[in-house]
Amino acid sequence: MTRQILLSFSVGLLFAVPISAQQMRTIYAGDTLQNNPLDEVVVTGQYEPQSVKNSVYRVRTITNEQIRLRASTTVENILNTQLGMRFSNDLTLGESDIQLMGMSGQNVKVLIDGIPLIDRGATKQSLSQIDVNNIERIEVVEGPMSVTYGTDALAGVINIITKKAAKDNNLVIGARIQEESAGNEYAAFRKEGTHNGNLSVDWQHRGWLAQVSGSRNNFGGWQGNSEGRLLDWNPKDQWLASGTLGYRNRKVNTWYRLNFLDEDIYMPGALNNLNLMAVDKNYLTSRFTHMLQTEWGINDRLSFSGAVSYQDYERRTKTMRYNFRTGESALTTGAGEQDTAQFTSLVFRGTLQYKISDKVFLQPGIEINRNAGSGQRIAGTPIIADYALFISSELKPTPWLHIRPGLRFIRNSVYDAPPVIPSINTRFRISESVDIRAAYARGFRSPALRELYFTFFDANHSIRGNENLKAEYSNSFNAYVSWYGTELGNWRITSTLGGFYNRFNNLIDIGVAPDNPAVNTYVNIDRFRTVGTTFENSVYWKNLEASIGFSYIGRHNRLSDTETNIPGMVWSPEVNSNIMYYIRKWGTGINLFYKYNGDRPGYEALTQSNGEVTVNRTSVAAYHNADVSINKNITHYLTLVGGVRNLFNVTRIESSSLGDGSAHSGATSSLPVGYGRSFFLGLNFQWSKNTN
Amino acid sequence: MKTTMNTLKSVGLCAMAAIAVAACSRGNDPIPETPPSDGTTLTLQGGEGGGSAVNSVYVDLSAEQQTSVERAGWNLGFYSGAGFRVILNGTTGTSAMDAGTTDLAEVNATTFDISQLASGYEPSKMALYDDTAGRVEHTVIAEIAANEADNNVYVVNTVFGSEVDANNVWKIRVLRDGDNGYTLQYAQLNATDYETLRIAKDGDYHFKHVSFTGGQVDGEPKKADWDFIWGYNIYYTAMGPSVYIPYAFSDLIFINHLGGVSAAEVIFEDENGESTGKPTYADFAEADLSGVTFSNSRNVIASNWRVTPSPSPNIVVGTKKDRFYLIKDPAGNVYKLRFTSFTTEDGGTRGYPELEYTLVKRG
Repeated sequence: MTRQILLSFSVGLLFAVPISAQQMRTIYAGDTLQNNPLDEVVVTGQYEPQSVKNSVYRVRTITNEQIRLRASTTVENILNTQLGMRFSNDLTLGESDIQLMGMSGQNVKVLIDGIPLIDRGATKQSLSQIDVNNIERIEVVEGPMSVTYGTDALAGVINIITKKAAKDNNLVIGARIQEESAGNEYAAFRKEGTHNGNLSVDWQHRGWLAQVSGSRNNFGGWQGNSEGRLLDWNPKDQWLASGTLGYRNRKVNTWYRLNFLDEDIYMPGALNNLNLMAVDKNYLTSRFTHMLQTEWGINDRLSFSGAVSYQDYERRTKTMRYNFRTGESALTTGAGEQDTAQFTSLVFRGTLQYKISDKVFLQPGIEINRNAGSGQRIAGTPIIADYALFISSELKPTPWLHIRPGLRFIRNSVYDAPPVIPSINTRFRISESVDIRAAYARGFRSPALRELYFTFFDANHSIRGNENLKAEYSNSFNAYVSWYGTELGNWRITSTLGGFYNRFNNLIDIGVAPDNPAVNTYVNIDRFRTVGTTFENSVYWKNLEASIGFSYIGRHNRLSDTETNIPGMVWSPEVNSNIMYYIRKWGTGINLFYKYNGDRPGYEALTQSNGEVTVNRTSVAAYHNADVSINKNITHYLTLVGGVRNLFNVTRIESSSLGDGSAHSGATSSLPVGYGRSFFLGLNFQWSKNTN
Repeated sequence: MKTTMNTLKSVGLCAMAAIAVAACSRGNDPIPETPPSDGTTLTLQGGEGGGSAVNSVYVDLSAEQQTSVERAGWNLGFYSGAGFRVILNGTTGTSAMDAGTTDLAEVNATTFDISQLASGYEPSKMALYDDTAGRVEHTVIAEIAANEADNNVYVVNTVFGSEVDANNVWKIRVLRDGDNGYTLQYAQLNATDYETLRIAKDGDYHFKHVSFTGGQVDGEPKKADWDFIWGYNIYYTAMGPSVYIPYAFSDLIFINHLGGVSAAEVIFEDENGESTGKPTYADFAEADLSGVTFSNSRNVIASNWRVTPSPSPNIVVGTKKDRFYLIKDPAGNVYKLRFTSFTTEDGGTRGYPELEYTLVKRG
């Protein structure tokens, strides 16, 4: 027995596989139910909460257990071992962007409880501005969901589901404190390292519920290769608060929630020894996200879901000059050095779910978006309004077939929206343990406010927005075969093999203005395609829950359109694994989260002095991501968690030209990935009035 | 005691002699020889506009003098030296093209496509601007010929940019005015008539400046009264191996190469911050001059002295702290000079660069 465990554990480690157990779930989550992972309920794109198995979409979930056991302090950390997801870091701005299935963040829709989060530009900075302590789980759907969720949902949707109170009357008080080193740098509770704390109170009584939560997430930066006052990773201080008020009865469930973020990214400047001055920058962000959601079960056949959200996002750039000789400080006066960019977004969504019969389910819906922005590099104070009608239907003509066609009609106040967006999703149940999902969908991305109204003219820049842009759109096909394994003694195995093909058209890129070749603007110029396959497996065995996945994703090589003798696609492999193992005797869980990001080849063109163009192969190096954590229940209320992040101590990866040996090849630069192997230790406290 | 007596005696004699001389004549008012500056710090007054500050600044180190000249205040410069040459105002990125005719009336927006004068990141665009090394014999406008019929009309765009506004476009024709001057015929592109201006050469200056709207104007100081000019100017950059395109730079520094100034760059630290074996700014002394080769190239300093923001990692924006410059003025004075700040990131203000210099050797 022990040998078996050890064996599987070492095998697991070897193959970088994950594990978790029902018992662990029970103890850790205080859950009385023995959940079958396939019965995990998902909501993204569903008419009503649905089990993963019965969903017509292939939905991946990152469960509350995984999040808690990993003791993440950022959403990036939760997602960075997911298949098909990578992050790129912009250290100058202290921001990161996600890539999903080979596409960058502008083609990924980020939702919080089904409501899109606004961002100031194309990158999905919003992901790093969510309180991890409030996340119940994360649902990821790959492939376009533009019929339901509108713009941006080309590569897929990341829906962050926040914690909701349970149904029973109760009072729950939770607290968390966690200290983490940043690589080799650490100071207790402030400055170097990551310092996370949370306090939350949940109360429910006779259908009423109230939640309050406050968090601090402080990162002290990391010096890395920089010297003096400079840092490779800039300090970031976040204060997050949220409050929820709701009422629920048999027919209606209504809640209002306000999330608040205050973020300060601090960028110290180099000290000039000749004049003893230094200039520091702060990027100060505040976000208010108001959300009112309601579900109303009108009768057995008809229900209404409505959501209204208002978001106010402000980002201020502050630049200060310090004179170390005199101790004086003053704001600087250069262009863009003091700036406030402001964005607001109003979203209304309403859907009716109408079950005509057991075979026909209909969902008509309406969505209204109103986005406004202002700032130094935005021309005027534009407002974009977007109105959409969508309708989809779930048809179950026979017990083994499940078809969901959908259409979305859009009208936009600024640009010519695509008239209609179709999709069709199907699920074929071949047997009790095997099913196939196949889908075609069209995805689209509306031109962003920045692309329509950006303006930046100076000595050597002439860039302006283009109000005549069309939407980007994609035609996407995907198919998945899932095998749910029958119970094999204590074993349960599930596997899913999938493939996708996406063809993107009218991609918006910087190009030359048609009316003036000397001005750059945004144009619908580019085409792109991605192809990929994924193979995901999970194993459940006693106290072990493990998963291993592979993906092989190809991205179109743009140079192949003009150059011969180079491949049309460039491919990159990934392997990931989670292993969660619970030792009941010790009340202790051991967890491994791992991912291998394969090297990413590319091609670049170089113009030689004789005017000839040569093509070089380039490569972004492969790297491993791994976190290990150990959880131990100390008392009924208290859990200790500790571990290592970035086990492979990755800081930067090389991005090289493997060129032709001439003077200008072999240029190597490096991309920042992390700040090295870090250690963490945390305490979680949870007290509830009605213990179970 | 005896010494004192002698001293008194000499003083007395001198005084008497002086009175005698003064009594005879008050002429020969002695011009005191002004010693060159020992060095100081300067904040150049580029004026508003940040990276495209409105002024060029001419600096005379030995006189501790700076002269701000509004960049947009002039359009053409008429060479006062040997030969008949006309330069475009590089500090506004003025571009020009030969219109292929000698008839001003024939040139207008219909016969000439002004978009040709737009800036652009193509090697062919280099032909729109004067020589990037500042050689007078390599101007866009061909040497003004003695034979009037050989002097073509040029179309001039006075404002640098990727879009050309017809209001900034002028047509000009320059002729010789005897052996010591020029005749400028000029008009807005679509005008049917033209104005005429006579410009005489003046040996105190390299160039006499003309503004289309203001006639003859003051521009650069007398040629002996400046060592280098700082400011925005059209220049070039590499777009690939040996592929060069015109590129407007802020904060360019050109030495007064036509006036006999020469300069050298001393890099005393390598990329890793290690000494290169050369003396630092503080250490550099007259004795170190023997190992220095001065260059008369206009672009010895150019943009080499500062780092501007860039998306590349580990870039420290600011004046370069690993180097300083030696400037030898026409009188033979040698100064060591370093830039202390030029932009927000190094604690300075864009458009108001700060520098310090010290006399190394008196000429």
